[in-house]
Amino acid sequence: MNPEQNGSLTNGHLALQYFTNRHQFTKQFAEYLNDSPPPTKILFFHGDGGNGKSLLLKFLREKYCKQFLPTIWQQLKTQSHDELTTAIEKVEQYTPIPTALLDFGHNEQSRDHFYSLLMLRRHLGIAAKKLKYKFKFPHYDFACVWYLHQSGKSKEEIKTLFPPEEMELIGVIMDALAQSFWANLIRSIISTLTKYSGLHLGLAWQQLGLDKHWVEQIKAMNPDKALINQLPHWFAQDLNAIMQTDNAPSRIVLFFDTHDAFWGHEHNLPQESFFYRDEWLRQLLSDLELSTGIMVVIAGREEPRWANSPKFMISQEKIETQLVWPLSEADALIYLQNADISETDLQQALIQYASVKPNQVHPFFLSLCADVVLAAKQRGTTLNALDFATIPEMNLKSKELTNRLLRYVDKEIEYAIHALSACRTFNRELYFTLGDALHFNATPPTFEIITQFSFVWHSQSEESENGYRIHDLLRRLYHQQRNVTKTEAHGILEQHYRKQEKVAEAIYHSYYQNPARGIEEWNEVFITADNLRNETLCRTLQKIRNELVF
Amino acid sequence: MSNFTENQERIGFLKGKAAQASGNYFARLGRHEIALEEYQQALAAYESVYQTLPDFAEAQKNKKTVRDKLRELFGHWFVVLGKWLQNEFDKATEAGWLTLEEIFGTAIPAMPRKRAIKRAKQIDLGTEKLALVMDIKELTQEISVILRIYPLGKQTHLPDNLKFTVIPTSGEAHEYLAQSHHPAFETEWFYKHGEQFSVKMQLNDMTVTEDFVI
Repeated sequence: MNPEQNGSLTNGHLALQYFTNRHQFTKQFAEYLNDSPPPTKILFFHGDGGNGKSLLLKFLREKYCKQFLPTIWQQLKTQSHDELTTAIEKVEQYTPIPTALLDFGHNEQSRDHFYSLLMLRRHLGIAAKKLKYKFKFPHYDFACVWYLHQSGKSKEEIKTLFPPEEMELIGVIMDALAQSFWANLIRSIISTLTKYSGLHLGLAWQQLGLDKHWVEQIKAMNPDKALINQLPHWFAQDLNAIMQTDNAPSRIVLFFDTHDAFWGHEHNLPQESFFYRDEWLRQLLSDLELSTGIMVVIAGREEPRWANSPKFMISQEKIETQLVWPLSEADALIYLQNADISETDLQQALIQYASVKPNQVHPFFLSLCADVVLAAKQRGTTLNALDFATIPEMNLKSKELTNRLLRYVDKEIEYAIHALSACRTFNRELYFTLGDALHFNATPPTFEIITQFSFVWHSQSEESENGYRIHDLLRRLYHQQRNVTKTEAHGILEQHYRKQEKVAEAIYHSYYQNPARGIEEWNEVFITADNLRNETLCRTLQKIRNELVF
Repeated sequence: MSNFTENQERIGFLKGKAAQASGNYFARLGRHEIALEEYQQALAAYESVYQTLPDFAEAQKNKKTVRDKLRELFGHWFVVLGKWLQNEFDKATEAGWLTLEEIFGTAIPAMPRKRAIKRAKQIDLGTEKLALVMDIKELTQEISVILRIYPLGKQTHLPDNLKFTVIPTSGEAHEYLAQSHHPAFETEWFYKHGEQFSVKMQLNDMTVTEDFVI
């Protein structure tokens, strides 16, 4: 594949082809997957924004979630970091591992202690089905359905939240709940699960442990004060049980990206508020039995402070932290060669430009540099080393590189990028909506070009395969700049989300046009939602408030 | 509201309202520790508006509502020093905060400062018995709090290695180490209404912490 024709380096699948270095992490990951007994630490990758943590997670998930026969693994393990990386890709005999990825930076739901678990459960269900495993979460599903039922959700609404293969089970639970007769409820659940799992009734009872006492305990719980806080526990309990069944995979991997999104730009929160943000995650991780083969891989800018948390403390010994550092010059060179930038002087100039320290090349800057060269080439301009001879201050590099890049793209695209920087996430539909309203020429080819830039990321949500977001480094840069297009885009987006009755999202865009108006509406809507016990809206608004830092 | 034209103050006030509403929300969910932080944030925002616009009635009213809420929610485990200023000592007495006479008997140490409210509590750190004395006084815009610690019983000086730490809700904790053979220790702090702090006393492996809200 010729990147010149695609204009992209680090985006999505293409980026994985140019993924460079990180052999040490790859080897460590492979050891976690293949060593016996399974290591019981959480693998936590941390490092500055743009250092390639998300790409590393994508890479590990897509290329290295493989388990080898012990004899093959013993041979592989003796190889050096670099050799192992190549060898793993070549070995054809392996067992694929079910995985799920949750990107906390995707949207407020991905950080929500109710919806994020539901997403994770859904992703795991889908991953298991693909590999012909059967994952059942009886306690979690029941508690979750009961919570949604208590929150006034209809049967149809609830069914859409679970994986398709669970539809019948969820329907049965809902019908039984409607009759408020626990014996019927249990009989229905057991009968359905028996059908699915092929277990005889007595064994199903024993295995599920959904007895009268437990069900009554759940039903007696206050949904918003107690039940919702127990969901991570039951999720973990069910997953632990899954991993102990005879037909379970020997490993599963849970990936969590953008851990820092729980706090956004807030750095000085009081202790309780700080630790509240990722409390459900700590509870989940505390309750997972990693010795059963559950592997947890997390990426975030900062090392976790979980050892200091007042609730669900996770000690430092249970976490393997790894600093994701910038690329070495040698690896940066390989990256540029992979991207078909072969002129030696230009390579050296780009590496110098993208360096943060001697022999430390910032992957995000490097990918932007490459984007600039390739975009210019597409316009018939060949850039050389002299074009990158003047190196700006570190904090100006993103701005300078983006401005250069925009110089080599059509005005329409430049306009579109400014407009899209107002979006938290966008898709094709939103792109065309903005194009119509702001009168830029939004076409499928320009959309393809934009979504292939290195600063545009595929959204990491299985629910919205075609979602994108502009890299946080760049969005932050654009937020600091006054730009008429961006402000107009916020206005269009506000109206767009009002039509869709997504009030929290509308408030977000209202705030960026007029902070006082945004906070005023937030207050009105939040107080009403709190009075009406609309917990979902309350939680969503809280997350919007955290993101806007007010 | 007529003076309330500056956008900065308006945003500050609205942020206070957002924090107050969030405090109510977390209090309803039983997450009192987070509610407390939100209420403190609300009070700080209203206080900031008050500095510029002292006649802004809605900010003043909200400030009072938040203070009442803090007392309602936290009075039972925090020592609410604001109540002392209103001459209410029922809950303080229940929590062991007594008059100086009740703690020291006739041997009350000399403590300067007129018109200040003084209460003391016996602190047991293993075999060592100490008295923590709170000396509070309302100033124009803040409350002065003098924290003193004395030996009790036959001891005439503080034990060696006694650590005394004042921990604010936000910001760094200040740790003091008692000087050898010193008869007492004191430190003065200034707080605003609604602010919270803790005092930790540590001797070897024994620790006692007292939590306060103004």
